[in-house]
Amino acid sequence: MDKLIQSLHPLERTVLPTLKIHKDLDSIIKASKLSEVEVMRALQWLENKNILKINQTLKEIIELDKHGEIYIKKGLPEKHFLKVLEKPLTLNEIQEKAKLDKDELNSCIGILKRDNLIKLGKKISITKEGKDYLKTETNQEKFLKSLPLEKSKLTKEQESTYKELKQRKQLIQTEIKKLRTIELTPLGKKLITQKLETDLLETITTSMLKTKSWKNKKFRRFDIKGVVPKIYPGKKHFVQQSIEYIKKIWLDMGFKEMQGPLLESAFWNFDALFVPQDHPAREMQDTFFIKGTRELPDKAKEVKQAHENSWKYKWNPELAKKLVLRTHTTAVSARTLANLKKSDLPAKFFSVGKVFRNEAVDWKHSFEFTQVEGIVIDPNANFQHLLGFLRAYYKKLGFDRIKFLPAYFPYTEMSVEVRVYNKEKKQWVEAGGAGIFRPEVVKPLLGIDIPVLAWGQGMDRSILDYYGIKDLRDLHKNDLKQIRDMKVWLKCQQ
Amino acid sequence: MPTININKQSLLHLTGKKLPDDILKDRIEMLGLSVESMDEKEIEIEVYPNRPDLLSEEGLARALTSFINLKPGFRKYKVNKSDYKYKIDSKVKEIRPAVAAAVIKKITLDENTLISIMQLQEKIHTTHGRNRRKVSVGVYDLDTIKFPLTYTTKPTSFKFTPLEMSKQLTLSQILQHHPKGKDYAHLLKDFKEYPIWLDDNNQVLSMPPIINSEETKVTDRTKNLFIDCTGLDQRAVEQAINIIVCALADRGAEIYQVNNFPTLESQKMKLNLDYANKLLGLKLNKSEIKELLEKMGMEVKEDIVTIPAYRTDIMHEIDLVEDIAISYGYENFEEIIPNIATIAQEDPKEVFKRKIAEILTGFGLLETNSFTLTSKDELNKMENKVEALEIENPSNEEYNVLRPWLLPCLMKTLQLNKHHEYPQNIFEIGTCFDNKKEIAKLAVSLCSEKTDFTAIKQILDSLFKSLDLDYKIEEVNHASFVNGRVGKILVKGKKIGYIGETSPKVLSNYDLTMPVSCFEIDLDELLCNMN
Repeated sequence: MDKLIQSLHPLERTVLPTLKIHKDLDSIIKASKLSEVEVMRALQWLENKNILKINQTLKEIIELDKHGEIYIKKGLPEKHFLKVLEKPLTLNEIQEKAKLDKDELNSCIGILKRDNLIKLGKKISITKEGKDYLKTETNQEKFLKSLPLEKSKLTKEQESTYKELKQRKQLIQTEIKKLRTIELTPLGKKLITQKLETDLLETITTSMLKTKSWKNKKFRRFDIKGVVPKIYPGKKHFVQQSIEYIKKIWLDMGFKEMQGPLLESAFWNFDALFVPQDHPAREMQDTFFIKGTRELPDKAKEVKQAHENSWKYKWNPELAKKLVLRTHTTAVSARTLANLKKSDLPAKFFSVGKVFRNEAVDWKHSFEFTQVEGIVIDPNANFQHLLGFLRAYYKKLGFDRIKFLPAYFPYTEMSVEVRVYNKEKKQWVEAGGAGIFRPEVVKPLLGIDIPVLAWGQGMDRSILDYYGIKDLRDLHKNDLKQIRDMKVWLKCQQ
Repeated sequence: MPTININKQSLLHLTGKKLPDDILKDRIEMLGLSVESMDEKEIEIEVYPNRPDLLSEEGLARALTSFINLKPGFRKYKVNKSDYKYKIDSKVKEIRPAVAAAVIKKITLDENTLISIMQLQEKIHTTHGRNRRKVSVGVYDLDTIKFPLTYTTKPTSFKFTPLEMSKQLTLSQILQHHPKGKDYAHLLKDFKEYPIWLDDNNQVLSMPPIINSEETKVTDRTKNLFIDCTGLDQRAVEQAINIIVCALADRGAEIYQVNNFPTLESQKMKLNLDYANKLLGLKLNKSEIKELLEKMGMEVKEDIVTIPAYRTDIMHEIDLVEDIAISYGYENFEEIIPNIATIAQEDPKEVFKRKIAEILTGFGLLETNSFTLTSKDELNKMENKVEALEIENPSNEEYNVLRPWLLPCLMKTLQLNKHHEYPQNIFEIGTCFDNKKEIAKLAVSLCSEKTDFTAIKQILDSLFKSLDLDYKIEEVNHASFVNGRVGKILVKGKKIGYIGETSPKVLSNYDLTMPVSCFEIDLDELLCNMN
């Protein structure tokens, strides 16, 4: 009980004593002299501590409506009508003197005639009953003054007045209201008989610390299990977090980061990679083309030779000059190779970047992806090293079971498709391509033919799997709630 | 990639061995094809485009029986000489110059064989033939044709009865009305006359690459075939014929030459043992290499490899090395991390971008991730005309230009998040396009009831302090911002961006009822000024 008393908030302390007498919210508010919000908060806390129960009932309450509000101050229109009839008047005169509008005038005539309070003629005059009526407070007036009333508690007399008033235009309205009443639990009943210690310290203040006034006093106990209002941290986008993780894998293995443009010439995206000029991937439906051209580098001569010698067709420089949005980061590898000098060897590079395919967008298709790319250039590199690097990378990504299958890319030989075992789906899933660059790629770009191990993987699938997202569009949706609530990328490399 | 459907029983019959499903699937995949599905009747297989010889049941069975060592080694196909001839009219030179043909005799055309031939023809069209442009194949009942033939052209008013039609149509009618004509009309649209095969009786065989004639149609009673192949590349059409005749010979048919073709002459290539071993990291001896290549249907004598005519993918010694690797089995290679000592290095610009993101998240800002592509309509909402690089062939009008700046992306994000909690303070770092120049940019937007110029300038100020850089702000007019509350940001006298309060007009374009203050800067310029 002591602990409980020490944990009471000042608002709770203020509200609790009023509960000895008051049971409904309105009277508690009046008695405590707190605002409704404060009282509600206090009651909520007390309920959480099992001190009381808040019961809610719904009630139909009769209140003044628009016209009712006016008439309660200025009087009902029929009274005004009668008041001006000191002598018989025409309708127009009455309307003017009593300041009534047309609607009011008509309804007054109806009411007054029915109860025989006026006499109609060329001019209208007041009857004796009318004069009496003017002096008395009518049931309707009494009813309006006593509002608000609870509908279920009306007397028989009030009931009939209510029906009359309901017929009249916008005098009254009924509204359904929540009525909160408080019921103390056995614990609460015990608590209100206790003396509520008031000498507890609240917030630790600087003056309290300076004056040491906290000495020999107790602090109010806090409800440390309660729910707190949410706050949101600043955060990197979850795609960016996963990119940083993947970059770190390659950096840890001694790779250097390479970069290249998104807007690329077909030369670097296709020709330098030995993709023949009539290859389906170069058609409009797969690749985004941009107006304009870009001049060919010197190495184009060697690339042309390689195409013409092996593919046996006439290589067209104009097709190579076309501008495309790069369809794979292998274009970056091609550029990197072309810039390497013999003295730079051996070398290992990686890149993580955006690539584009001309596709419509739906839950499993997009036109913009993130790709991971890597190359190893070393005279002694071989196929087993390629498989070794791939195994290490996928293991760090969390895939213990992977397998390598023969595949085909125009620019690699051997070509490998990597499949990873998805534990949730219990199936093998395509995860990326790899291989050793063909001599027709390496020789023109590097000048010598030495093994270049190469690989490229779409990252988006792994990102979706990690975050439990089903829809590819979510990666670019920028739903701030999703970004705020998303767990952080945390994978511990083994 | 092309997918073919293979009758499983027929494949097992051709391989001559009953293989359990899992082993069959594994062997097909380790040979370099992808099994999409398999049930009792059918196997659906994806074939890589470099291996058109595997686009038929017969070709697949041939490769598989060698690969599982049932029938390794080079297969000889007998080619019979003949007097079958055709003339080539020089008029075809401009239109579809490449041509090759062959005759097949004693073929038994049961339903399954017919389906397999048609599938092979169709898949060669889509892959090797680049949708009939580069190569197209026609198959005819030999016994309806009188040699010699002529490969010529005819004007568009010329008539014949196309396949599956009961009356004659003109060539232009075929292109307009026949389903195949409509599909492939674009291949002939630039020409006044179209290619036609005629026999000695002036009977039309076909109109390549569109449609055959009804009269020369292959039926279940057909015993002998004439096969033609036309296109743009002589080597490619000859390869297609080689692949088809070998597949049919595997069914027991006999191959006859037309114009002294095909010869099925095999390619010979020298293989350097050390080269192969070095690339594969293996220590194979001569006889092991010989055995491995025989499993791929090749013949090895000393260091000379004989390659079957249907293997169109072998261009270089390296292609033989890959065949050795596949034959050896990718699953049997050791996986080794080599000792190649290199020093890791992150790209300096990427480091810079990462640092900036870290500073900004420290202010409690959220990073967003928009597409690089946007639309002109979206850019116009900023009330500020900026040229944007257009995509020539967009598949979606919502994404038809490359973004020239980032703030429109952030505004769109704020528009999409109106129902979420405020304040919404966000930033994005990404590539923008100034014509064809790529620029890394940073944009920051603060959106809440209380935001204003001071709030956004505090972020800018603090960012520059962290970077140890000085900057200046100068007044400027900019239609996206409130007049008098917008400035250009200068570093060492050079403009690197804008800062300001977004104009109410722009806010209403994005249906926002909350103020936004923001800045956008060029990170490439900024990085140049570091140090």
